[in-house]
Amino acid sequence: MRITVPQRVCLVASLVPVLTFAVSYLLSASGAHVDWCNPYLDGCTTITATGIYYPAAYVLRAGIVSSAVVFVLWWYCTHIWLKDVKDPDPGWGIKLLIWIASLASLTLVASMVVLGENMVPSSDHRGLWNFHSITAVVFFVFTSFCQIIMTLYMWRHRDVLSTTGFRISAKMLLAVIQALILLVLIVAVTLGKETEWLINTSEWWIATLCSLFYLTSYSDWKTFRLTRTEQKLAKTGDAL
Amino acid sequence: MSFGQYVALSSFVLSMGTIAITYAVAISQGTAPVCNPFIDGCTDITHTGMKGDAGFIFRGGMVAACVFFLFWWQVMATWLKPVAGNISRRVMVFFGMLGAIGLLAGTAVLLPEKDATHWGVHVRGANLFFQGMLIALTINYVLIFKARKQGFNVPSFWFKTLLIGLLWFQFIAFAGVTIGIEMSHGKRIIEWWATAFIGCYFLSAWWDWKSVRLTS
Repeated sequence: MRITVPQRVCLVASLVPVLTFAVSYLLSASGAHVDWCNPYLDGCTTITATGIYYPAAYVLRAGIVSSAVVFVLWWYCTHIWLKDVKDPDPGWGIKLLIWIASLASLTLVASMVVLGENMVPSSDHRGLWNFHSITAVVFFVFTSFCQIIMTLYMWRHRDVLSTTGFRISAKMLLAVIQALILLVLIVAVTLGKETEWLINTSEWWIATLCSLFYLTSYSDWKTFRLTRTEQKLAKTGDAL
Repeated sequence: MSFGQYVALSSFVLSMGTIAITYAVAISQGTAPVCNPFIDGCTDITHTGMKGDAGFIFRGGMVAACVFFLFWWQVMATWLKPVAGNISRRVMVFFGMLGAIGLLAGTAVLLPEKDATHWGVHVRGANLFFQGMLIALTINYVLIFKARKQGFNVPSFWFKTLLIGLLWFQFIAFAGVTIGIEMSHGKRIIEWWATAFIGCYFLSAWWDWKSVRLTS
């Protein structure tokens, strides 16, 4: 069976960032810029640290900026899909959520373009580091938040959207883990108990889970075509 | 707006908008000379997007635009599916995507310091973009030309004809767009115009893709 364009968006949005993280980490570690470890368990480094020195920085920059654009396309597809299968329209709340998620993806672009050896030494470039940190946190928090809310919405309307069984349970699993990680982080930061290990591992896990979330729509969008709305309008004579 | 129109519009706005904003920021920060580069050729596109904040804007904007170029070729192949053969469409998409990936790689390696930049990757990537796009757009135009004879509706046909004519005129009259580290004034002017023509060609699909159906 042919893979539709929305399904390609799912694949690219999930696989490209995960592969990019892996390649940039391997390049950085082999260049002795970060330690060899399992960053998901040991938290020996951050994703940011793998994107400072060249050539890993080129890979991270190109891969993640490209991924961020595909994230925006994923949210666009979700919007069209919900309009298509849900009658009446999903409402302003979900539209706003999609806008916020899309804008959050764009902050990832801003966060990534400043990375590079131009940020070394960090003490001389506090402005760039602050800009990177703020935009990265905005991306992670808002993307996770939007994915969690979207999952709840899809769960509530699972019969209408045909997102039952594994389709919704995969989304729920990813959303619950993200919510737990965010909760632990917020509590730790509030109590002043955050450790380097907690922050580093959280970053790797949230980034990976956010990316994998986009893959969960692959089976939802088997029969989804991006122009069905236009075709509906054409039938009623409102368009074309 | 259909998905195709969204892709066509984004391809144009992101690429041309990034170049315009980059140049404006570079002028305001004193990292690029003030002129009309389409006439004077006082700077090339690459050098407007290396130093300062302009570099950040250029790298982010152009890499993002390249992703839209990739999807533009996917949509184009789907649109032409009923009227063009598989092989010709695949060859067209191959060169189009190769050009977009070339520009993506060539942009990602740009650095503020001229000496530290991997010019080999940048020059090859930028040349791959211009040459790849010329081949892909030419195949695209020929396929559209043939399809139109079969009654295929192409609202932007005459605009595309003008753009492809101008691109080929540049190629024949000035030996095309060849990117280097240091370029002559003439080459710079050609680069600015060729980029604008390619951007407009991407935009022209906006009129064609009102009802583009993406089934593959």
